[in-house]
Amino acid sequence: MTGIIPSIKHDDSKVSKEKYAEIEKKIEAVRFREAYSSLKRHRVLFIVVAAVMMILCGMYAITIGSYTITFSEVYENLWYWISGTTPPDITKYHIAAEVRLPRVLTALLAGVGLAIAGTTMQGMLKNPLADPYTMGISSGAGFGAALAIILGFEIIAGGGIVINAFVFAVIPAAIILMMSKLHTASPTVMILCGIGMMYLFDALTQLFMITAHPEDMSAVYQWMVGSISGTDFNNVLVILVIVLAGSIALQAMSKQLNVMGLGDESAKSLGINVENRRMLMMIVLTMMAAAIVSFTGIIGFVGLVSPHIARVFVGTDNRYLIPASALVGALLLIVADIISRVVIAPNILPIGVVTSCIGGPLFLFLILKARREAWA
Amino acid sequence: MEFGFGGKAMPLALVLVMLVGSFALFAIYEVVMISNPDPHFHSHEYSISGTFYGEECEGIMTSEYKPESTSEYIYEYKWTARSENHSYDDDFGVFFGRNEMPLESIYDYIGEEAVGDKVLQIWSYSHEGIDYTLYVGELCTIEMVGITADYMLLIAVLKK
Repeated sequence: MTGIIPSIKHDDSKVSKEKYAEIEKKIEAVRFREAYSSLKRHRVLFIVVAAVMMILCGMYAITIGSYTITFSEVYENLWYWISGTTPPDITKYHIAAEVRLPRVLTALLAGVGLAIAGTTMQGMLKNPLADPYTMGISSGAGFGAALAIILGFEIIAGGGIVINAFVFAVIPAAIILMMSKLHTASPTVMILCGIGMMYLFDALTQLFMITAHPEDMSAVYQWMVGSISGTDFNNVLVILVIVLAGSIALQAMSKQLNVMGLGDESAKSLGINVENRRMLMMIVLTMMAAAIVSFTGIIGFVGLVSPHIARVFVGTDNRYLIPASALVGALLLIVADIISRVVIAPNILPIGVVTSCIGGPLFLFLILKARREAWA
Repeated sequence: MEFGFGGKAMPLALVLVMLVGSFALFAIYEVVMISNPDPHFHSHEYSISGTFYGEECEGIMTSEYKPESTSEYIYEYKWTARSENHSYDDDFGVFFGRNEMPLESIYDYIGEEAVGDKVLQIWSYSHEGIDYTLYVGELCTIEMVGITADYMLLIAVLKK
């Protein structure tokens, strides 16, 4: 970095001290620019590598499953799907294009959405433990799903588990926002409200499960350990639209998120309405996380761990951190999907359990290794 | 009140609680699943009989549940039939929706028929010049499969 910058010899006989100071300032500026472009290159490189890995893992994940279908048959049938050609074997086409492809796309989108929600939550609340799970969103969704499965209660007739889960996932966030209006929307208030909501909804879910029929109980547990293998293209489309809109909105607010990281007072002095901005971000990321959780069930640790992994490589600038952690989240969930199908094949481990197995130890490692400055 | 990585005790404790919670949930799920196994996760065997190029033939068919999706019950059927001079084997999939009926996007509904004391739903499906007629009973169980082509007329019956 410094190699291409010539060192300056101070020669008072030729140039005045002021002139030297000015030159040194310019050199510092050049060095800073070089350091910044080098950092930018590293960040972009990480994002590109993560994107390539995500695509490769996704392509491999489509070929994994218990149904007997070869690697080439999978891609042959995906080609029929892309080109709109009638497949010679509709059953293999169904497996490749209508079962496995939506599953992998769901993993990708859920990973992206949960990671972005986690990154934004951690940034705006200045807390490394914030994610959709610790903020009560997942617990609310779990309670909504339990109501639909055990009592058959549906908020919208025919909406089933998905609508219930979505509405109840939004409730904790709505309560947090209301409490923040009554008090002040400080990170501490929001986190404490979130943890309170999480315990409340978990307790209510357990209460309903005590009285549940064994079959219903099994269905609730199955939902609570998370799954991405029950989605179809209609579900994928809904998740895609919400995750895409939410990601664009949060990426657009990433500069303000950076400023908010300096502290509320500093951000206010720079003209940012911190409370309003925080609430807006909270609404966007809640919608995103709720949409995902309502289709997939509770998938823990992705929203928590992905931002921390990405932060190690791209730093704390949210303009880069948001896309980087989105890709890490997608990669993590796709890898977890592959592991869940390989470990006890032909049976499947619930993906939420696999993400906990990977994410938990990884997060503990990051806690033990990282310094405070690594995230703040 | 901020939990930075500087103070490691709180994050460690919370992550451990989340980890233990996840595993506890999975353990309960497994216990519930073991004590109440899903009756749809079954495998079956069938005996095949009929004619193959005009010759009497015999064979076997097996069905196996494939856990590919949580919104469908997917079964893979493999069969082989042998006559004195010929043999043939093939495989096909049958996908049931949550209503325990084959997916209408793939299979054609023919009607229902009383066989013995059971009322079976009849569905058909064609694959590589072979017509399969599926006689569907309860819990996604196919009781009989008719296999017809220009050169074969076979029937596979579920072994009791």
